[in-house]
Amino acid sequence: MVASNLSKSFGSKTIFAGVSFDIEDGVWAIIGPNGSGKTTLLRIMAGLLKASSGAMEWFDKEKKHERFQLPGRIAMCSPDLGLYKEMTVFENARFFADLARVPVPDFVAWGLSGHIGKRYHELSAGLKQRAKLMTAFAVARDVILLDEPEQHLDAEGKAILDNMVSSFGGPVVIATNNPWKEWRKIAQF
Amino acid sequence: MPQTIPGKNGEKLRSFRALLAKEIRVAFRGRHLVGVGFGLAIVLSATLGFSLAGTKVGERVIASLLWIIVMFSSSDTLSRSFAKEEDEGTADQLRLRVPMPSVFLAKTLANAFFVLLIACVVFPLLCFWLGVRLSALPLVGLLVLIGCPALSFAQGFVGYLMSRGRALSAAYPVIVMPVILPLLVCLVLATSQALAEGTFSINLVVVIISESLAALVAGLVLVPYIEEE
Amino acid sequence: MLFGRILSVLTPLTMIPSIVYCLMFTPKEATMGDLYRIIYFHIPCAWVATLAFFISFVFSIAYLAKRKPVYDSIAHRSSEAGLVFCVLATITGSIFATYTWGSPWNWDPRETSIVFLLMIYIAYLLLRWLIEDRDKKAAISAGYSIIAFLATPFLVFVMPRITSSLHPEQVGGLGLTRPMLYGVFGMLAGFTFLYLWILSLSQRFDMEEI
Repeated sequence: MVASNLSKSFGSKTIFAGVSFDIEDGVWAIIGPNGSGKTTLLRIMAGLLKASSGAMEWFDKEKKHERFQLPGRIAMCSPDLGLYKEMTVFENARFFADLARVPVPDFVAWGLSGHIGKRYHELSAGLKQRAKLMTAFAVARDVILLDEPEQHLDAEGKAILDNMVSSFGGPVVIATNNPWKEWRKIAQF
Repeated sequence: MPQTIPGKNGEKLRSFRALLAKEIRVAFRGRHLVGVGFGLAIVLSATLGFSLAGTKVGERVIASLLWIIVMFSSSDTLSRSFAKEEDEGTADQLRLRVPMPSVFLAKTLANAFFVLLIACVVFPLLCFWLGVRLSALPLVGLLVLIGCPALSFAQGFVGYLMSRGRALSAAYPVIVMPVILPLLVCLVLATSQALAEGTFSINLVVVIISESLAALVAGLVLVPYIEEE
Repeated sequence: MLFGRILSVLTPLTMIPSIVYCLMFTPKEATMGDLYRIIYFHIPCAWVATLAFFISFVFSIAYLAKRKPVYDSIAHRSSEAGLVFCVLATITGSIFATYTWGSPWNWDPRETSIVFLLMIYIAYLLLRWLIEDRDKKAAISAGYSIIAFLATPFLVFVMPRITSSLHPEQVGGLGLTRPMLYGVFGMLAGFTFLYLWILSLSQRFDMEEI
């Protein structure tokens, strides 16, 4: 993922400007306080939002990808993204696994084996976050983007997340205001 | 021009089947379709059946009642389904996984099924209360089978558009009505001809099918361009 | 800018002589007398409304393809102008119908079609009014305009064929003589220039705002 001179503004309000980076494998971080534009940058990286100016290139540098060619390649977990509250944890995981054409994730590894029959809206905030992270990691093919991933997680949850982040093959990008480790930085707002 | 992600057809079919199954599961577990859709269909049919009891009702009136009740009972199931995905953050999850035209198609097809279910409640009730001749039923039934998906296809894209602008869903009936009115008129004319058991103009059926398919195809083509915003 | 200046000269140059010619120099119609003269306004209004809606449709497609604000502005202002001419066509048609068909409104296919068209473009303007974000407004209303225009062939070509009509076009024409036709063409040109002038003025106003 290569970004050159990205900027984003909503109306006359500029969120950020002049952000450039080149991401390879490993764990990367976007660090900054609330409202500094971390989520916006992550959404641009996911292809969910268009940058106001600057260029964003994904994957193959020779073969230029457009935003609409991205579906299926990037996984994301963010407070703005939800799962279906009418469906159980298992049904949600299977649905997204079917969309990504991958096997159903390992519920035990995420400590969710006792909750797979519960509807998503019946879960506590911490378990909801685990279910969302589990789904994101299960479907991730090339890149995974995590927005405040440690939110609501208990110590066990954080340990699972840490383990999953370090064992993921491709680039992991974490946006947080509270970095719990030393990562290579994409941007510090 | 937007393209779909590469993948074998069988795999794409698996994703599409999953999308369809999800639509049906979420709709039946949510309270809106059952509570408002079917509820409104039964209440409206009963109210009109009671109000018109003992009066001679013409075919045109029965046909209009049938389609207006079906239309109003099912009017916001589709736009609500799109808007709900945006509000709950599942729309972006879908955007990350599949091209939006396939989500649009799955929602429109699932909605065609819901409209048909609602018509299956309204149609027998109205026939029973308003005394429709049994011999007219097969042709009218066939028109219901064609008309429900047609209604859903014709309003699919507007339902999607409404979800792209926040707080637009309240205005949905006003915005969608002019777009589907021509189709509704054709459905009423064809159904009243079928009920009257006189001459039946097949041209109307051709217009209904072509109009709704054109709207569906236009929707599929336009969705990626709206997504670009 | 130059286009607007040319139109500001062309419009009165064609409209004023055409109006004078149509009202004072064209002959009376055999059965309707002077009453028929309303068609000198009715036909151009209906024509300009159709043209304006078509232009709105074309620029909606252009906006979605290129995302240039000027295309959205043209699509918007053209549909507004189209709506005004559509209302004028309805009123003039209604006046004509009162004296020829005996009542101002008969649910004739043409009348039904025009009601549908009015509803479509009122809904279009309502939709624009409801959305605050400029880019969103432009994209959503362009999509709506395209899908709504798909209904127009139905209204113009299908509707009059599936239900019977009293409209002169369906019952053997108006029987206009050559001088009357010159009048109609003059008015058509005048109204078209008027529409283009209105469009260029209102669109320039939008561009200054952006």
